[in-house]
This record gives sequence, structure tokens and C-alpha cells, in this order.
Amino acid sequence: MSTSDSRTTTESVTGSDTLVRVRDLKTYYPGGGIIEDKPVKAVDGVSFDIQRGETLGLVGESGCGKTTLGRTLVRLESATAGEIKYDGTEVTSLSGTDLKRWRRNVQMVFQDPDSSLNERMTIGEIVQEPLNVHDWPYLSVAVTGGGSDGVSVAGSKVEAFDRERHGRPDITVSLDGSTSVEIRDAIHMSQADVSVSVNGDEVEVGVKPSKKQLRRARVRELLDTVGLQPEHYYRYPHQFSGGQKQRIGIARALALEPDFVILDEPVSALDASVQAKILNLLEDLQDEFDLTYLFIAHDLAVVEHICDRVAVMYLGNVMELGDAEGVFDDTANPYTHSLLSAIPEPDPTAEKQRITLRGTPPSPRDPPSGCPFSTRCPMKIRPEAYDDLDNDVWEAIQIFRDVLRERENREKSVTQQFLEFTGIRDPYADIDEIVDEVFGHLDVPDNATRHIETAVEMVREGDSDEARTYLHEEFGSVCEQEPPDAYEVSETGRVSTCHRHQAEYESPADYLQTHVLDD
Amino acid sequence: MSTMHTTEERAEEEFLLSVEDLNTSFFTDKETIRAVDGVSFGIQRGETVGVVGESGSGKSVTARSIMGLIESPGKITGGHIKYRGLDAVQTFANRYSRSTADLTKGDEVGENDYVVVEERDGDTITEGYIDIANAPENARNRIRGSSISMVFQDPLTSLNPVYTVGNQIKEALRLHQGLRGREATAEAISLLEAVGIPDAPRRVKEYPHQFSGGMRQRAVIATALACDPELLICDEPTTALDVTIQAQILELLKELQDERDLAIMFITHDMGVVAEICDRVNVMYAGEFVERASAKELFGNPKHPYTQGLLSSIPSRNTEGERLATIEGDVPTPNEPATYCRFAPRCPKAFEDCEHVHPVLTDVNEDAQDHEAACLLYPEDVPQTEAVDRHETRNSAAETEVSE
Amino acid sequence: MSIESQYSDLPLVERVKNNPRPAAVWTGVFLALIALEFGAVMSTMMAIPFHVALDPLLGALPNAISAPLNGFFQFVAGIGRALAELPTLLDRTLIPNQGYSTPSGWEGTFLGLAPAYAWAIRVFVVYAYAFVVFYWLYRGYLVFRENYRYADWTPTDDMIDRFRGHTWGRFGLVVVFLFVMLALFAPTVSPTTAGANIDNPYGHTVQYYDADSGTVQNVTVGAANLQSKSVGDRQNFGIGSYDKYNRFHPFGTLTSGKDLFTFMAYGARVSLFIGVLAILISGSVALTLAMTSAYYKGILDLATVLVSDSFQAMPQLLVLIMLAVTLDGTWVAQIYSGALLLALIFGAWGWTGLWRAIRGPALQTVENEWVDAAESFGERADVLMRKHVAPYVIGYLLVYGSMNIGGYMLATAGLSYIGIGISAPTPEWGRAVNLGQQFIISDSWHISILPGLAITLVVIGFNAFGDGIRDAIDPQSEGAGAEEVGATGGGA
Repeated sequence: MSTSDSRTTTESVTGSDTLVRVRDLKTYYPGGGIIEDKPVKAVDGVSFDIQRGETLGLVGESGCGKTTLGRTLVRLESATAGEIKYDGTEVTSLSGTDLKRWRRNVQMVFQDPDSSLNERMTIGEIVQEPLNVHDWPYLSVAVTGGGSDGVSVAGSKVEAFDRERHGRPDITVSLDGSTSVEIRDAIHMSQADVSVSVNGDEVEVGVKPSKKQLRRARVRELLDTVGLQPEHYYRYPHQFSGGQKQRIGIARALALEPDFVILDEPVSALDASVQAKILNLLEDLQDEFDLTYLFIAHDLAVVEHICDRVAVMYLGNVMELGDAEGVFDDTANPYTHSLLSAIPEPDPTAEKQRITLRGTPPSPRDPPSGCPFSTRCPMKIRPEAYDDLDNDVWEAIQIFRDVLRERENREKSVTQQFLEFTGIRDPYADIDEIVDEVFGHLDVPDNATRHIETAVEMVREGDSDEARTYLHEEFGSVCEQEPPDAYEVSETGRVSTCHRHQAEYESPADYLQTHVLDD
Repeated sequence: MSTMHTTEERAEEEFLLSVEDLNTSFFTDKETIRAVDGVSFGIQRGETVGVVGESGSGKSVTARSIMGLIESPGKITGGHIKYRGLDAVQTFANRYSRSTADLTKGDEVGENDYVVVEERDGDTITEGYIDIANAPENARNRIRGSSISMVFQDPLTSLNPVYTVGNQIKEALRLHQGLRGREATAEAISLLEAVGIPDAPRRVKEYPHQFSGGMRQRAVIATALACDPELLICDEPTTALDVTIQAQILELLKELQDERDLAIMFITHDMGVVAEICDRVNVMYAGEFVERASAKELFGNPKHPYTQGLLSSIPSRNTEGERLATIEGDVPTPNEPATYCRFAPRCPKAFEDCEHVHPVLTDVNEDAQDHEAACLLYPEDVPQTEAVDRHETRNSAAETEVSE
Repeated sequence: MSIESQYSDLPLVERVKNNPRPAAVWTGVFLALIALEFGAVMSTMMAIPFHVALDPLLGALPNAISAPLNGFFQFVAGIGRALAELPTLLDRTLIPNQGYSTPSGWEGTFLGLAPAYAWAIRVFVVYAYAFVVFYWLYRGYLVFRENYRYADWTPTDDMIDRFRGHTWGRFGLVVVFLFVMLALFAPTVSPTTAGANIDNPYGHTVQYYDADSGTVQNVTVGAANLQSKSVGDRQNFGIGSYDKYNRFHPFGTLTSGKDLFTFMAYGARVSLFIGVLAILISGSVALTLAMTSAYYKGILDLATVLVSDSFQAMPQLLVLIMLAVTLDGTWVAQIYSGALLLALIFGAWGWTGLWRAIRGPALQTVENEWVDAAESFGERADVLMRKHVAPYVIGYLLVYGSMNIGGYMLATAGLSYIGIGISAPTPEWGRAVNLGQQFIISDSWHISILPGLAITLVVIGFNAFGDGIRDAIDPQSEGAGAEEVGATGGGA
């Protein structure tokens, strides 16, 4: 049963544990044209939540905006509109020192192992760089226990603990009974390296190793954690294989102890067996450090394996969002159906019912009106008159409308513009050939033929715009007129963005069985 | 090293292309890399043969050797690549008669002969081949594009960005078929239509950057088909494409194969694609073929430990939530001739003999039709010591052959 | 696990202590080499006008403190002066070549040899010393790399190896080395000093043996020069000749009688000064602008393009001449006889071409994901550009820079040839070419041809050096990288 719910998300499920909250996020790149500025709508109104400790997968094909979304979350791109709340803090408006401090919480692992590491730096330097930038560790000292109020902290290398700036204290001195010292795990010092002396209401803390030594030790430990040998500190990236380079990238991302890691296609550039190792490593790290992942990928099999919930993106919009099992086994959205059916199954005996999508995704500079998937959707809502029309004929009509639209929108050189403007050259001179090529081998019923020919007439007279509008009125439907809302499609809170979830239409899963796969 | 045993002996003449003991090496200052180290296989007319392996296995080098695209410091150091397209053989026999060995007339195949005529029917040749490995550059030029075509991985760099797509298709047409002008344009348009690009008359005048990734790859396929080749070599053509576009391209390739009786050699590392499109599969590791079978057999019954490891590390084959099985270690770079099993250091089933005996492709068991593995564990229905012996004798037989 | 081994690597001192022999050997020889020239180092230091800074300071302090302080400074100065008096190897007085010939042999020259040989020996000693010092520094790098460095490979190693194998680059290096040493050691390498021969000839004297009177006479250098003019077929003192006063002229004399070799050696100084200063100015401006326009792109890039195009649109030669002439009377033109002015003009115009050349590589480098990664953990823009972009761009800068140096030298010579540029009496090669041009087809051809050849050779040398650097920094030149790329079949 689908309910009409505008922009429902999984917020209602567990509100207090939400780490990242994205609402109606838009990231547009400026168009660059001087006269007419059509921005590239990379992310066009996206909303979702990420719970602490979970892995959210973000899948889609190239051009859908998933990489841009990831980069916006790390503040490598600025959002054009919308809000991102990280643990309550509004991220889009951060700047200056606040931004730099916030960056410790969110880190990114990049896609291409060859270009994400500076080849002129040793891997030790590469992993150490974030630590240097943030002057890690702060060596913040918190004093607890009886009589700890009003006690000040002194010492050349340490500073007093400030929750806002430091998050967690690095050294905790407890004054209960005998003074005891606790050092946070990530900092490689033993008790013997810290000397504490209490002079009245001042606690003097001396730390033996230098910050540089501590950073080095941490880098060595990180290298060990990701499966590399700490002795390789002084090696250069090109001396490592692709999988190892990716491990270095992961080590670098973990250096500042982030809580949220965005993985931008981390295994796409790797071979199958190496992929498996890196995926295992990522899962282990998530368990060990309580990380929250946003896993961006285009390989659905990988996503199914590692992610708890999945968001499917197309042309800057989230089409389906929900638990991984539901998205893959109980698919609701037409785009997800098409995506899943396109994956080649490593089993030659499997009889696959494949939906092969027609055409290519439209340009994000000029997204279709209404539903972004309307130009290619195999389950597009048809006007009632054509409900029983042959699938091939219906597709041919779509292709015809596509051709007209593409011709109108293509880049024209100045000469072409001039020639067309003055009427010297007619861009639709070959309209008959087009019709022949598209419909030639098909048996088009009369009611459709009539309208097609009317449109062709209009084109011949030079009114291509009118022809397109006419075809739109005749063959178009709500899919092209209004952008669909997100409807809840299961009890687990999964949502899918499609008009077919409304009561008056057949749901996509049903339509699939009755219309699409029947041929 | 010869692998002429039961399944291969079937009929050499059935194969459109048969590669025998191909060796390609790269000689750099620091080391010699034996990228292709004794590879043999065959492709029949109209079938799709897959070559699967990870990066560094040598599958791209194999394809380029067949196309004659190996440049210094690389060299084909041994073996034969026998192409049996009769039209080409006929043309070559006429053109390069000095390098032709006509067995029907009692010639012997000399060192410099790269065209061999085996049977005639009157004046027409009914059996014969061209040895591409031996042929000089100008001869290879004639084969490339007209008889054997190649589709590369990255459509962005396969097309020249400063020429229109139509221009590039017409270049191939002009070179091999002598078409020019309006004729050539019409042919180019029909080719673009054949590969499913809508509005071809407009597209033929556009530049590669105006095409999307999938369409570019279609245009590349159109260029490859311009001269009606008999064999199409595809080197990871869909790796750089999205999965829905990949589905379109695979469908297109299957259609074209049916229409034109095209043989396809498909190189990839994606096992899903292999299952989808290949009839027979060869698994390649460190320059050698380690398993050979039909697609159904390979996926249903993988025999070589490497194949088993590959298949079990694919996420979709595992149930969710479990750790993925992995193969420890990395693919080695083959520098010396193999006197041992190259996979042994990483193999979970390795035993002592694996370090001393080089396995050759053997039938996996008595009944196996067309399923071979290069592993000392096979044939699996004989005791292990006997199996190891068989591999050893084959090795020394090959050596004596070579030294003669 | 002890604290030390847990998180610190052995510092350099420890590493040296573990394996002292190579370091000791190297340091020993190096110190010996320094000792040979220590006096010169000290005298350079003593030449620095410390008192300019110290006197006001002493004046400001109360007497009780300044008096002992002054005494202390004097004491230190005294030691410095004494050390400066130490004999050095490259002192022209050690191997003098100025003497006179008596019937019984040469007097006053080194070991009584003919001045020609004495001069040759001195030149040889200078170059040998310079070569040994540089070679020893290179040896030091090798010793460090083999014995004491933690990283067993750095990108610099590859570059140096590739450069070693590059013949044309090595030729360039040799020429550049000869030229730079000539300029640096001009006073020592020339048969006389510029002070004596060129600037103030009437303030110095030489001794000669007057055969007529049979005694040793003094004559001012100026008068001697008047007698030594090379003016074509009438009177000529060509290459390797002695004049009437027993002075040796390795390259002959000029039309004014001054020694050509000395002229050229000091002219080399001027050329080098201009070239290096101009490259420093234009290079640093170009580097900064290239990195900022590549990183920020957008309007900053556009603005820089406009500015650089405007500069380049002006006809450079005319601007050069105009500026050189208009600014002639100002104080800038007085410094180093106009060399500073020229260097500033070249620098101010030269950045446009350099910036254009390195903008491309800078834009490419910024596209790499490591720049994004550095941004994502909050690296400051200037540190990012320095660490992540600059190393990739500097190589190209060096290449184009070394080619431009040749251009600046040619331009300087050209300007001096037409009479503007470096004003007399400061030597400059172009002026020599001008002075001798009417005598080219006569016996005095050496006046024009030798400086001309020298200019050509030096420019070729710098270009060859730039070539060598280019091939050394390019990982895919015919060297290690290219073959490996091919061997993988281009990526699968």
C-alpha cells in the first residue's frame, strides 16, 4: 500500500542516533556561458539521514551526481541550497577555523589510487600530513576527582582540556587518593612518559616525547592497521600496488580519528581479488573504530554486500532509499529495476529477464521536466488510449520525440545558428528519413499514425516547437509534467520516487510483470 | 611448448584463428618481462571466446600480439598466430607470392614464409593460413581493420578528438575498401545505424566530445566493423561504462555477431560479463592460460584453484554479510621461463611438487570434453603421482621439440 | 619496546655514529678543500661592513657596556683579519704570471716559467680545484644516499641517474660550469686584474726589462696599453701573444690595448649577474602566478592572462631600448653600470612567457586527487601549493628558465653592441663585438670573433643543460618509465 507522503525519509525510525541529516540539498555548477547560463544541476534536491555506525550505500551511474554529493558532504564543493546537519551542527555555513576544526570529523577516501597520493612524498609523510595540519595531538589534560575544581593545568607541551575544541581529553589526571594518569589509546605514550606533579591548585604535566615523535608513532600504527608494514614509512607510492595505495589512502583518512568516512568508489579501480581484500579491511575498520560510512559505488553487487541501507540516484535525485535487502529483493522503483536487471550475473545458466534501457541519460544541464527518468523509463505512464499499444511502437514514439528534442537542444556553431536563423538551412529537411528510420519497420496503428503525421507536418512548416508540444499533449502523461514525490513502500521505511506508487496506477513491480516482461 | 592433445586435435582447420605457443616478451633495462608465455588457443567462426584475468596477467598483450601492435621494447619471440580467413589468404597468396609456401605444390614451409596454402580446389584455395607472428608490418597492416578489428577499452582515447566521427569511419573505409565521398558517407551512416545510434545522419558530422560514453563505444564498434571483419577483438570494451550502457553494448555485440557471423575475442576481468556473453572461456594468470572450458562448465565446475579463488571473491557469489574469500598475495611479474607453477605461492592447495614441475593444460578428467586446467591436481581421476608424471613428460617433450 | 625505538627513527647523528668511516673520510677531504680557500672565505666575510650596523648600536648603549663590548668586537675582528691573511690556493700571487724577461730567463713569474705557461698553470689549478670541490659535494650526496639515508629511493635519485646518462645535458653542464667558474674566479683566472688593466690603468704599473738600457723599468699600465693596441693589419696582438712589455695576452688585446681575456672574464660576471637575477625575478613571479591561477582559476586566471598578454603585446625590443635610454640617468642605472637595470627589465617582462609555459602543467597538477585530499583535511592554500603543486611545476620552470638565461645574455650582448645597455668601461661581450667589427677580416679578427663564439657557446650550453634537465625530470622520457608502461600493454 503506498501512501502519499511528501519527502518522507527515515527520520521517524531512530531520531536520536542520526549522525548526518541532509535536507533538500542542491549543488549546481555554474554554466559558464556568458549570455545564457544553464547551470549543471549535479545534485538537485536530495534528502536522507545516516545513522551512527551504519553504512549507507549511494549508487548510480556516471553523471547521477553521487560523487558531487559526497564532495559536498566533505565541503570540497559548496552547496547551492539545502542543509546538511552533522551531529547537530549546520555544515553548509561553516567557515574559517570552525570549518577546519570540523574537518576532523569527516574524511574521504578517494577513487583513483594513482592520483590520490602525491608521488613526491613518502607514504609516511602522506599519512602524517593531516596530523601536521591540525597539530595533533593537542595533549589536552583533563583533571578529575576530588578537588579538581578550580585546578589549572601547567606544562610546556600540554594544554587544558576544552570540550569544544578537543572533543576528548588526551590525558586524564585523577586526583582521587593517589594521582593516577590515563592516556588515550590513540596516543602512543606509556605512563612512564608522563610526569605529573601537584602544586597546590596547579597540576604540572610534563610529557617526554615530542609531538613529532608521537605523530610518527601514530602513522606507523595506522600503516600497521591497514595491513602495510610500518617499515615502509620511507617508501614512495609508486613502489606499491593499486590495492596497497588504496590502503594508504584509507590510513590517511583515518589519521584524524574521524567518525564519518565517505568512500568515493574506493574499489572501482581495483581487480576483483584485491577488491575483496579492501572490502574486508573496510568492514574490519568499521567494527574496530565505530565508523559510519557513506559508500559511493556503481557496482551494485559490492554495495549489496557491504551496505546496510542503499540510496539509488539518477540525475541528481534519489529514486529509491531504504534497507539494502528491500532495495535489492523487493525493488520498488523502475530505475532500480532497470539497474538491477542490467547487471550481468556470473552464472551462464541463469535465465535473465532483462530490461534494456534505451538511450543515454540526459544532460544534467538540461534535465527533463517532471520525473528525471521519464525519458527512458520502461514503465512510463501512458495515456489511456495507448495503454495496449505495442511496446516497440511505444518506444519508437519515444525515440522520435527524443530525436526532435535533441535536435533542438544540440550545440550549434555560430554559422549554423546564423543559417538557421535566416532560414537558409532547414535543420529538419530530412524529417522524412528520420520517420522512416524510426517507424519504418513497425506496424503502427492508425490512431498513433494520425498524430505522428500531424506532428511531421508541423515540422515541415518549420514549427518544430509546436510539433513537440503537440506530441507532448498527445502522448505525454503526468510523468513528464510533475516531479514525483517520495512514497513509502514498505514497513521498513523504504521510499521510492515514482508516480506509479499512487493508488490510481499500477505499481512498478506489477507493471513489470504484466507489460514489460511479457514480450 | 605444445598443447596438442585430444581436444585441440579436433580440427585445426575449424578454427578461424589459432594461436600456437605464443611468446611475447618485453626487454627493458631492468628486467625481461615474459608477458605472454606459451599461450595456445583457437577461435571458431561465429563464436565468442573470452580471456579472463586480472591486471598483469598478460591478456591485453595477447590481444595486441594478435593484432601486431607490439612495439619495442616488446617483441613476439616465438609461436604462431594462424589466421584462416580464406579471402585474406587468397589475397595474400597473390600479393606476397614470394613468402607463400604452397603445400599443394610440394613447397616446404620456410622460415620467412608467412602464407601457407594447404588445399586447393582447382585454382581457389580452400584451406590455408596467414601466420601473423611472422608477417612483416605492411602485411599486418592489410589484415588489421579488414580481417581482424579491435575495440579498445577507453572510447574517449580511441577516437581522435579533432576529427568528426564520420571522418574516422570513412578513414577506415577508404583504407580498406577504397570508398570515397558520398558513397563513404552513406556507408558510414548505415554503420552508425547498425550499431544503434539514433539520428545517424546528424551524428555522423559530430565530434567525439558530443557523444556520451556509451555512444562513443558504439561509434568505435562501428569503425571496427567498417570493413566487415571476420574477427573482432574486444579489449575490456565495457569496463569504463555504466552498467546499463554495458548491457546495451553487450546486447549490441550479440546482435552483430548473429547478423554478421562475427567471431569475437572478448578480454575482461569481469566474470559477470564473461558469463553473459562468452561461449568458451580461457583463464589467464601471469602470462599463461591456467584453465580452459565452456562458460557453463567454468562457472558450474571451476577446477583450477585460481579460478575457484576468483569466483569466490566476487561479492554477488557470496551471501551477504560474510567475509569475502580472498587470494593472498599479488600477481607476480613473470621474468624467467616457468619451471614451476606460478600460482603456487598463493595457492591454498599447493604441495611440494608444485615448486618443481611446471603444469600444462590437461583434461581435468577422463570424460571431460573441452575442460582443461593447468594444475598438478589434474587429471583428477588418476593418482597424484601419475598426474605429476604426466605433466613432467609433457614438459620434457616440449623441450626436446624446441631444441630440435 | 623502548621509547626510542617505538616512535623515533635514529637521528642522523646516531646513524653516522653507527657507520663512521664513510662520513669521516668525506668530511676530512672536504675540510682539507675548505682549508685551501679558507683565507678567501674569511676575507670575504671581513669585507662585509659590520661596523655600519654595530657602530650605532654601540653608540646607543651606555659607555660602561659599550667599551668592553667594543673591545670584544675589535678582538674578534683582529682574529678575522689574521685569518684572512692565510695563504689561499687560488691567489693570483701564488702563481704569478706577470714578470719580465731578462736574457737569462724570466723573472717574477712562477718558477721562472714563461708567462704563458704560468698563466695556464694557474687557470688549470683554479678549474681543477672547482671541479674537485663540486665532485666532492656530489660524492657527499652519494655517500649519504648509500649509507645514511633512510629512504632507499627518492625521486631525486632517478632524476640524477637520468641526467647522468644524458650526453647532451652533460655537455651543457660542462659549458655552464666553465662559464660560471670563469665569472666567479675572474680576478684569478685572468692574466691581469680588471682594476689594473681596464678600470684604472694609469694607477698601476708594471715592470719590464728594457733591452736598450739593460735595466728594469716601470711603466704605467695605461701607457703600456697605448702601445699594445690591436688595430688590424697595421699592428696586432693576437691570440697568445706577448706585447712589448712582456705581458701575456691569451686572447689578444682590444683596439684600446686592453687585454681581451680579462675583458671577457669580467664581462662574464656581468652577463651571469644579469641572467641569474632576471631569472630569479621572472621565475618567482611566474611560479607564484601560475600556482595561484591554477588553484583558484576563474577570474584570477583571466586577469593574469589579460595582464600577461598586454605585456607580451608590446614590442619587446623597442620597450627595452626605450626604458634603457629613459632610465639612463637615474640611480638604478648607475648600479653595476646598468646591469641591475637590465636585469630588472628582463625580469619584469620575462615572467609572461614563463608563466604561460608552466600554467599548463600547473593546471594539470591541480586536477590530481591528492590536491583534493589535502583540501579535505584543511591544508592551507599556500602550504598546499608549495607541497603538492610546486614540485611538479619547478622542473618545467627550470627547463624554460635555463633556456631563457641564454636569451637574456644574448639580449644584453645585443644591447651592448648597439651601444646602450652596459656602459663603458664595465666589460661586456657585446661591446667587444662592436669594437672589433671593422677588423673582422683583418689580423685583428679575434676582437669580434672570440666574444661572439663565446656567446654562442654559452647560450648553447645553457640550452643543452635545460634539455638535460627536461629529460631528467620527465619520468616517461626514454629511460626507465616508458618501457614499463609499454610492458603492461598499456594498462591491463
